[in-house]
Amino acid sequence: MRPLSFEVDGWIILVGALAGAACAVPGSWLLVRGRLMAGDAVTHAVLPGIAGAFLMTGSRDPMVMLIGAAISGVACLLLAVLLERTLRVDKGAALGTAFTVFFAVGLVLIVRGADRVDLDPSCVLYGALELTPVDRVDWFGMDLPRALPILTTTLVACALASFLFFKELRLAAFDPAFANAIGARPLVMDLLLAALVALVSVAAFESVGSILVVALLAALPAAARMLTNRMGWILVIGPLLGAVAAVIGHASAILIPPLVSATATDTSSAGAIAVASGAIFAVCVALGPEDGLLPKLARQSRLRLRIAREEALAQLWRARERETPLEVASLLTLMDQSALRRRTSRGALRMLRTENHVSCDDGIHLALTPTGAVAASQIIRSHRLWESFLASRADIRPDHVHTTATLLEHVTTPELAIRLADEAASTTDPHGHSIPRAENPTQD
Amino acid sequence: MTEWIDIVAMDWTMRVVLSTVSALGAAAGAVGTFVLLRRRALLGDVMSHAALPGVAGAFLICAALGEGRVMWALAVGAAISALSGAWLVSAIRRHTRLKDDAAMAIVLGCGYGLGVVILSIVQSLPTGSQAGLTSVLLGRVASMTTVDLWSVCAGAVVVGILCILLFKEWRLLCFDESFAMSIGYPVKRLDALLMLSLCIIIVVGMQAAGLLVVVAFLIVPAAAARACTARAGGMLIIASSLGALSGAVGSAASAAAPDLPAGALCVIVAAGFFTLAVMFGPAEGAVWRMIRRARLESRVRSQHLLRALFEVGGGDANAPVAIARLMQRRSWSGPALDRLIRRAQRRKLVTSHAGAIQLTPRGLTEARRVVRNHRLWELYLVRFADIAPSHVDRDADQIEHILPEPLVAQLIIELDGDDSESFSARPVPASIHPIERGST
Repeated sequence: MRPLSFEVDGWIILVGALAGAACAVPGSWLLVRGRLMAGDAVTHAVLPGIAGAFLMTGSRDPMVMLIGAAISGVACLLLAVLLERTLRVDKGAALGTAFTVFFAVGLVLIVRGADRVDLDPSCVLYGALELTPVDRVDWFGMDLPRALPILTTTLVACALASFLFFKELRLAAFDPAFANAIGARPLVMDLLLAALVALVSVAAFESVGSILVVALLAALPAAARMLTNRMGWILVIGPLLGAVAAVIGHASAILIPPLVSATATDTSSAGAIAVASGAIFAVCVALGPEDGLLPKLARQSRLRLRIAREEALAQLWRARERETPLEVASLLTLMDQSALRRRTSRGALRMLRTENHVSCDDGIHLALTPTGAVAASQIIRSHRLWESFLASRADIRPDHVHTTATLLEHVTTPELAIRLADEAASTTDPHGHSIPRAENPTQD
Repeated sequence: MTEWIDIVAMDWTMRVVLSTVSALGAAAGAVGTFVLLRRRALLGDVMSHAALPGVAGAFLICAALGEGRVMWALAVGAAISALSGAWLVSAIRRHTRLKDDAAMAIVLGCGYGLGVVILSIVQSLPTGSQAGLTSVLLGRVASMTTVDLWSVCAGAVVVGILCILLFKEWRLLCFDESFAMSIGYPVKRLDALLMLSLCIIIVVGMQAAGLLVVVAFLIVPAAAARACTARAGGMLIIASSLGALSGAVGSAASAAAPDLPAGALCVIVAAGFFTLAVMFGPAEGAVWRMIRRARLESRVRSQHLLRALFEVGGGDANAPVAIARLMQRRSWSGPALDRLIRRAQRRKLVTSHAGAIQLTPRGLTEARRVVRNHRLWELYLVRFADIAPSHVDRDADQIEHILPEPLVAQLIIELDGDDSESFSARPVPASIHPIERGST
C-alpha cells in the first residue's frame, strides 16, 4: 500500500465527488422520466463525435472534442426518439440500435485516424482518474487539475438548469401528457435533458471514464429515490451521495487490492467509485425509511405478531365461553388454521404471558387473566360486530361472514367499532353468541 | 474485385470469421426476436456488460491457481455473472419502486465498474499482462480461431433448438404473460430459459466477436424484422436471416478493408438493413405509411372541395361558384385551393370558366355521395346521440370520408325507414344547419 497524500488522493477524491455530483443531477431527471438507459447510450454515442472532431479539425484541443462529443451524444438521442416516435420502433430497441451504430461508426473513425494520432478507446471507456492530479491547468491564477474547473462548471450548469426549469422538468417527467396539454412542451424539456446528459457524460468521462458515468447517473439518484419521495430532495441527496461514493471508492481502491494479493497495487479508482455507488444504492434499498427492505420486513413481522396475539386472545375467549380450557398444543393447532407460522404463534404466546394477559398455572392449560379477558373481549367484540354488520347490511349469508370478520377485526379502530355498534340490531352475532360490551369508556 | 472474392472464398481465416459471425448473427437474431417482443431489448446490453466481472473474476481465480487463461473458466464466469445481472435487474424491479430502465442502468454501470476494478487488479499481477481482456470488449474479429467457430456454432445450435422447441411457449410469454400463467405454463422457468439462451449467445459471442457485435446483433436484426412483419414466426426467420446476412456481408467487407474493425463493419451493415426495413418494411415501413397517408389526405381534400362546390352551388342546381366564395368556405390557402382545383380538373370532376368552378356530372355524383354521407351522419348524431344540430358539422366533416357503403345503406334505413330504391338516385337529405359561414 502506498502512503496517502493530499496532493494526489485529495484531488482524486475531489474530482470523483464533483463527477458524481454533476452526474447525479441530470441522472435524477432521467430516473423520474424513466430514461436512465439513455445515459448508457450517450456515453457510447460520444465516441464518433470525439473522433470526428479530431479528424475534421486535426486539433487535440479538449474544447473541440467536447463540442464534437456533445453534438454526437444529442444526435444519438434524437435518432432514438425519431426511431421510436416516427418509425414506431420499440423504445429499448430504438435506443439500442442508435447507440450501437454510433459506437461502431466511432470505432471506424478512430481506426481511420489512428495513423495520425493515438486515440485510445480504452481510455474513453475506463477514464484515467488516477492521472487527473498530473494534468494541471491554470484557472484564475490557481494551479488546479484540469478536470476540476471542467467538472465544477458542468455541475453549476446542471444545477442552474434544474433550478431554473425545475417546475417544467418535473411536470414533463411526471405527467408528459398533461404538460403537453397545458403547452409546457415536454419535448423541449427532453431535449434540455439530453443536452445536460451529453454535457456531463463528456465532462466526466474525460476524467473518470464513460462506464463510471453510467453507474453514477443511475445508482446515485436511485439511492436518493429510496430515501425520499420529493424531487427537490432527490436533487440534493444524489450529489451528496456522490461525494460519499468518491471517498469510499477511492479509499477501497487503495486499501483492498493488497488484501487480494501481496503484489497488487491499487486498482482503478473510477471503477471502485462505480462499485461504491452501487453499494450505496444497495444500502439505501435495504434501509430506506419508506419501502426499504429491512424496515418493510420489520413492519411486516410486527404486524404478523400483533395479528397472532389478537388471534390467540380470541381463541382463548372462545374456549372460555365453551368452558373448556385450552392446552398450548391445541391453541397452536387452532392458530395454524389462520395461516399463522408456528414461530409467530409461539412468539405471540410468550408476549401475552409477559404482558400478564394469559396465565398457565399447571404448565399445560392456558387461561385468560382479568386484564387478558378485557383485551380479548374487545377483539371478540369487533369480530362479532363485523359479523352482524356483514350479515344484516351486506347481505352475506351468516355461515360466510366469519372469514371476512376474522380479517377485519384486526384493523378496526375504536371509532369504527362505535359506528358498527350503532348499526348492530341486537346484542348477539348471527351465530347467536353474545357481543361483549365495550370496555373503554370512550366506546360507549 | 476478383482478388477480393478470392480472399473471401479461399482464405482460411476469412472463412472461419465469416461462418462464425454469420452463425452468431443468426442465433442472436432469433433470441433477439423474443427479447424484443418481451420489451427487454436492452437486457442483452446490460447482461453483456454485467458479464465482465465474471470474466475478470474467473481470470483472477485461474491466476491464483497458476493456470493462466483457461477459456472455459472465463466462459463459466461470464455466464454466472451475466445471469446474476439479469436476476438483479428483476430483483430491483420487484422489490423497489424503480422502473425497468433504472434497474438496468444500475446493474450495467456498477457491474461494469466492478469488472474494471477486478481487471485492473488482474493487470497488476505478474501473470496479468497476458490477459489482454480489452479485446473482449471491442472485439477481435480478425484474429478469430476455430475454437471460436466451434463454440459459437455449438451455442447457436443449442439456442436454435430451444427457439424451435419453445416457439409456442415463448411467443405466449411475450404477448400475454398472465394468460400463459393462467393456463399453467411454467412462466418463471420459461423466462429463465430465455435468459439462459441470451446468456449463451452473449458468452460465446463476446469471446469470438466482442461486446459491441453481440449487443448490436441481439437488437438490430430483431428490430428490423419487426418492421417487416407483425407475426412472431416471420420475425424469427427474418431476424435470423438478417443477422446471418449482416455477419457475412460485414466480415466480407472487412476483407476488402482489412484495416477497419470487422465488428464495427458488421454492425454498420446490420444498421443498413435496419434502415431499409424501417423505411420499406411491408408491415411498418415508413415510406408506405407516408404514401398511404398522403393518398388519404389528398382524397379528403378533394372531397372537401366537391362538397363545398355542391353546397355553395345550390345542390343539384349545380351553379358555377366563384373561387372567392369557395375561399370563404374553409380555411384553405389560395395556392392550395388552386392546386386542388387543378387536380380535380385533371380528374374531370370540375370545370373552370373565368374564375368560376362548376361540377361535371361525374363530380356531381361524387359530391352527392359525400354530402349524403355528411348529412346522414349529422342526422344520425342529432337523432340518436342527442347532439345539438349546431355541433354536429365537425364530427360529420371527419367521418364523411370513411363511411362504408353498407353503413350508409343502414343509416338510410334507420333514418328513413325505407330502402326501396337505390339511394344514389334519391335526393340528398337537406342540411339540418345553415350552410353558409356566418349566416347562423
